[in-house]
Amino acid sequence: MTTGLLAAAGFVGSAVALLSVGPRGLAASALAMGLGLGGVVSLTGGVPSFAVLGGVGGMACLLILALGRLPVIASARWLLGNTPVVGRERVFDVRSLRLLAGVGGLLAARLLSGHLAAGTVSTQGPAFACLFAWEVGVIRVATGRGPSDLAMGAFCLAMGTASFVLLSSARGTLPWVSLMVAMAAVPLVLLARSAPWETGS
Amino acid sequence: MIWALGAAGLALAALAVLLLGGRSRLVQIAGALVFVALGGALASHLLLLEHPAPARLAEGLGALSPTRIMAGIMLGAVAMLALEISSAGEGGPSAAAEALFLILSVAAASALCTNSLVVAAGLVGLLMGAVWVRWQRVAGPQLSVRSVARQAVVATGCLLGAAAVVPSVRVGGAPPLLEAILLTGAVTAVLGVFPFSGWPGVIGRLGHSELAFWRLLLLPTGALLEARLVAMTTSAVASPMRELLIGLGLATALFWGMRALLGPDQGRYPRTLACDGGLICAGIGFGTLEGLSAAMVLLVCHWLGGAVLGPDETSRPRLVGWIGMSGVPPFGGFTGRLLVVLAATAFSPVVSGILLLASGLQLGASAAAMRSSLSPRTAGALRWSQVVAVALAAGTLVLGVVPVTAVHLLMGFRP
Repeated sequence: MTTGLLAAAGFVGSAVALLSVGPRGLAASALAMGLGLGGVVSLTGGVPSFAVLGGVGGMACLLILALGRLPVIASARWLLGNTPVVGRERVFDVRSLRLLAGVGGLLAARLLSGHLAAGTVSTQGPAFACLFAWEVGVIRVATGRGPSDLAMGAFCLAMGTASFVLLSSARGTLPWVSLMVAMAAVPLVLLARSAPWETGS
Repeated sequence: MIWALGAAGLALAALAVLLLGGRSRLVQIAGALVFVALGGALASHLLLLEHPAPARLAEGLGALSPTRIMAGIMLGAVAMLALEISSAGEGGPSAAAEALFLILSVAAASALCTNSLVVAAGLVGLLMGAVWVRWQRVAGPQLSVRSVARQAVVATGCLLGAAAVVPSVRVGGAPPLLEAILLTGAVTAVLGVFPFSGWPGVIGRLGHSELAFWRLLLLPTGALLEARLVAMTTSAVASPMRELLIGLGLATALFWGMRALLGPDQGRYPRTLACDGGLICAGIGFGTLEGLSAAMVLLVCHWLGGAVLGPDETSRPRLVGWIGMSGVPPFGGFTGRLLVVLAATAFSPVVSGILLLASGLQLGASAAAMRSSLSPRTAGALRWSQVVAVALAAGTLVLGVVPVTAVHLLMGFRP
């Protein structure tokens, strides 16, 4: 029962990351993924594993919001220069596109999770949540309209990998997993407020 | 160790000279030559020691184990950059580009030393991300630049994903095909082959000197990463991975060979380079000595001749470069492509035929480029600084008759 609930929380965190738009959406995504997947990895790693993923997610959320209050820093403009927007007509809005791809990803994660053995965890649910987080990363990269989307995609990929690794064997892996997700959060914080390259519906 | 620390310290000093010296030609040349000398000292330290390549991927942060071939290739890349700086005119690499290149060459070398997929993912992400940021700043908000950013994220993500499921790392099992797909995705993203071959479209908006990042740094890094990953995974993973790499390499070679032949003269060289990237990918994928040798010869060929093949170059250096690159015997391009075909003969006659077709397309593209090089529009007096570039381009002519063992020695490879 607990396993199912925690896996569902991981799925919800990834779903937030799938559909979020804008800097505040990115901040909410980082927090939701950190808490959701942190709950999943706590099944095998306990509080330390939860603290790592939840802490990184929460810290990324806070930093994105804080940098928004300090426009003088403007890390994205400092890194990338001015980025005027290009208009492009699309059949689907970006959220609809992500939703459609997400449904496909959901089915793929459901099928694949039965073929992955995550250490001692025998249930499909937790592995499904990790796989779905990874697929959300792929979808964000594939449908990305700008640097912030790509950074969010990389963050999702790192969180999915980290949660799968922690789920498999939490002992001894915590230091390098922490380093991995923290490094993935850096570009997300730096590029969260960058302008998209293209707009359009 | 003392050699290595001293070389690293002095290299940083040389880097500072480059950064502070701006575009002063004398300072740039001096700084670059000092850096090469120090790199030589460091490389000799590495080359003299026996560092066996790690047999398998390691969990976590793994360990750094420098290999001679890595030292040889990275030293060659930095040396070529130094020569390119000394030969380039006003359109040559800027001081900022040189500094970034030197920093990134350290990241690339580290990525090729590690046996940890997580560390490799971070370093490859840094390497490609930095190149993207640089190109974004140079070219402005071009949609085509986005493909490079995507490649960076995909390479990093695939390596991270593979770190979670490779059987030698994790207890439990993922289908070997899934692991092979993830590792292949990472290699193709770094090498810039299908389905991640959007980068040649960016070069036209950046200027020819920016191509040095791809030609001298990312392409060799991708090739070596491919060779290392194939060697370090289990045969159950390596086998489908090699087949995928061969298939994608062939598709890239055919597509970009066709585009190089039919496209305008302006972007012909980046397309030819992309085509050869496919041949390098397939060559290493064959897993034979001929395939690896072919990759090395093609890399050296582009190192030597690529600098003079920009659209703004005058006719004589371009002509020499294109002749060397063309695939006409006995020049360098011919030897590289012949070795790929030889490697493919043991694999499949159909694959050999496709490789011959791709080589033919490149020959046609080179012929078209040679014809345009002879037009009066591009004729101009040879500047003294171009003598080095012409000498380098002439190296592609000689490369074809140099024994392959000499190329092995140059790259630090001892079969």
